[in-house]
Amino acid sequence: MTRASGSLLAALFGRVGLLFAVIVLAVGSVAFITAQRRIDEIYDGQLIIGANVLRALMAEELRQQGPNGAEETELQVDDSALLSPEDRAAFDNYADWRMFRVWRGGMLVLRSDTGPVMTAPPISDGFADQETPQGRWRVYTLHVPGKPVVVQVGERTNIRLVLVRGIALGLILPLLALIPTAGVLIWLGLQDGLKALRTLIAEIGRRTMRDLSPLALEPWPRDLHPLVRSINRLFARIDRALGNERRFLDDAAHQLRTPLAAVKLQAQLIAREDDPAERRALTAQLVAGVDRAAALTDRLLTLAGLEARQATGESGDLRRETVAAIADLAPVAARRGVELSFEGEGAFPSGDPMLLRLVAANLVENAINHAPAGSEVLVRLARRAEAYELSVMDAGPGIAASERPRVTERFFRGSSAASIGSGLGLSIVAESLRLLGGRLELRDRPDAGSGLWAMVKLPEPQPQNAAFPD
Amino acid sequence: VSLTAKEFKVLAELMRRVGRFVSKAELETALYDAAAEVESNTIEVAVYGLRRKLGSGVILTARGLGYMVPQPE
Repeated sequence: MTRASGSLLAALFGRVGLLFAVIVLAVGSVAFITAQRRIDEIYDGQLIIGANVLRALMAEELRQQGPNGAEETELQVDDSALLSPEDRAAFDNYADWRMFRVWRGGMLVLRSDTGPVMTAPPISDGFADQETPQGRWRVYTLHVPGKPVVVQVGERTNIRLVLVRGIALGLILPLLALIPTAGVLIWLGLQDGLKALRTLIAEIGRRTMRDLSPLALEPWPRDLHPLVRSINRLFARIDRALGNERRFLDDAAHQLRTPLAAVKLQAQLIAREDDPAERRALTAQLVAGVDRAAALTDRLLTLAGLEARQATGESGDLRRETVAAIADLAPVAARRGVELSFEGEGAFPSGDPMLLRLVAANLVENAINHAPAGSEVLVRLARRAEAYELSVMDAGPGIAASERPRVTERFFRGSSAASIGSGLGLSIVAESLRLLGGRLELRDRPDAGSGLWAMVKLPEPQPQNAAFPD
Repeated sequence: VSLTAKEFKVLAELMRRVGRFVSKAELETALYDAAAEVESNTIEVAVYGLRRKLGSGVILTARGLGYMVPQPE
C-alpha cells in the first residue's frame, strides 16, 4: 500500500489526463519535425529548379546577344535585356518572398528588389542561410558550368515556418479541442466503472450484524470478484467465530448452572442445620462445590483464551512441561490411589511451553480421573521420525471407537465416562495442538487390559517448525 | 517427631525443591555429604520412615521421576 488516502477517481483521472497530455505533445512534436523536413525538402527542390530555370531562360537571351553567336563566354550583354519582360514579370510574382541574382564575371548583373545585399559573388555552390534585418533567407547558388555566370535563387525561411506551424497546429488543435471532451468522457467512464464498487460498498454497508450470508458474484463485474470472494471469506470467518462464541456462552451458562444449583442447595441446607458437626460437613461439601465451579470457570476461560490465541514463537521443552504437569497432578493421583509412572529421557525442545503444559496436564488428569484405584497411569515420551510422541495410558473404561471423533468437542462426555471432569479437557488439548501444529490420536491400550491410549504427535522444531499436514 | 539423620537429609532436600520431583540419584548425592556409605535401598528406607512418621500423603512418588513433597494446597 503506497497510497494511504486520496480519491481513487481523482488518481485515475489524473493519470489518464497526464497520458493524454503526453500523447498530444508527442503527436505535435512528431508532426512538427516531420512537416519541417518534408517542407524543407520540397522548398529546397523548388529553389534548385528555380535556379536552373533562370539559367535556362538566360541562356537564350545570352545567345541572341552574342557578337558571333558562338562564344557564349564572350557575350557582352545589357543587364536589362538578360530576361524578356515576360520572364521578368514571372519572377517578380515571387517578389515579396523570393529573390534572385545573376553574377557575371564577378559583377552583379541582375537582381530582384528583395533579398540580402551582396557585394561579391559567392564562391561555392549549394544552399546557404543568410541573415538580413528583414529576416532570414535560404539561398541556392549555381555556377553555370563553363561560364563566368553565377545564378542565385532564394526565399525567406519564415514562409516555411509559417507553413510548418500551420500543419502542426492543424493536427494539434483538434486534439487540444478534444481534451475537454475527452476529460468529460473519461470522468464519466471512470464514474461508471466505479459505480459498481460504490454499489458494493452500499450493499455491504446495509448489512446488519446478523446477516453474514455470502454475496453473490453475478451482479458484480469480474474485476470485483476477488474482492467479493475475500469479503465472503471474511464473512464466513466472522460467522464461525460468532457461532463459536454463541455456542460457548450457551454451553458455559448451561454447565455452570448445575454446580451453582448444588452450591445454592448446600447453602440452604447449612442455613437450616443446627448440629455443628453436620454444618461442618455440609460446609466442606459447599466449598468443594464452589471449587468445582471455579475449576470449570478456569477451564472455560482457558479454552476461550486458546480459541482466540495465535501461535506464539515461544519455545519450551515437552519433557519439562510434562514432568511439571505430573508433579502438579501427583496429589490428585495420590488421593485417588492411582500410581504414576513416567518414561522418557533427554530434552524435547518444542513450542509454546504454556500450550505444552496444557496438553500434558489435561491428558494426565483425564487418565487419573478415569483410572481405577490401584491402577497405574503410564506417561511416556519418545522420539520418532521427525516427531515427538507423548503417550498417556490408563486402565480406565476407555472411549468407544464410535465416540472418539466427538471427544474433542466441548462438553462432550462419552457414554461410559463417569461424572468426573468438565468435558473440556480434550477440547483444550485439541485447541492447544492446533496452535502447536500437533495431533491427537486415541486408541485402545496395546496390551490386553482395558483403558485409553492417548497419543500426541508433535513435530520436531528442526529444521523448521513445520506442522503436520492434515 | 524424631527423624534420623538420613530421613532429615532426604526431607530437607525434598522440601528445598517442593512441588518438583527429585530423582533417587539426586537424593543419594545429597546423602553422600551426611553418610560415608549409601546402600542401594537407603533412600527407600528413609522415605518409608518419613511416610510412617509424617503420613503417607507427605511424600509422593512417580516411577521414573522420583519423590516429591507437593505444594501445599
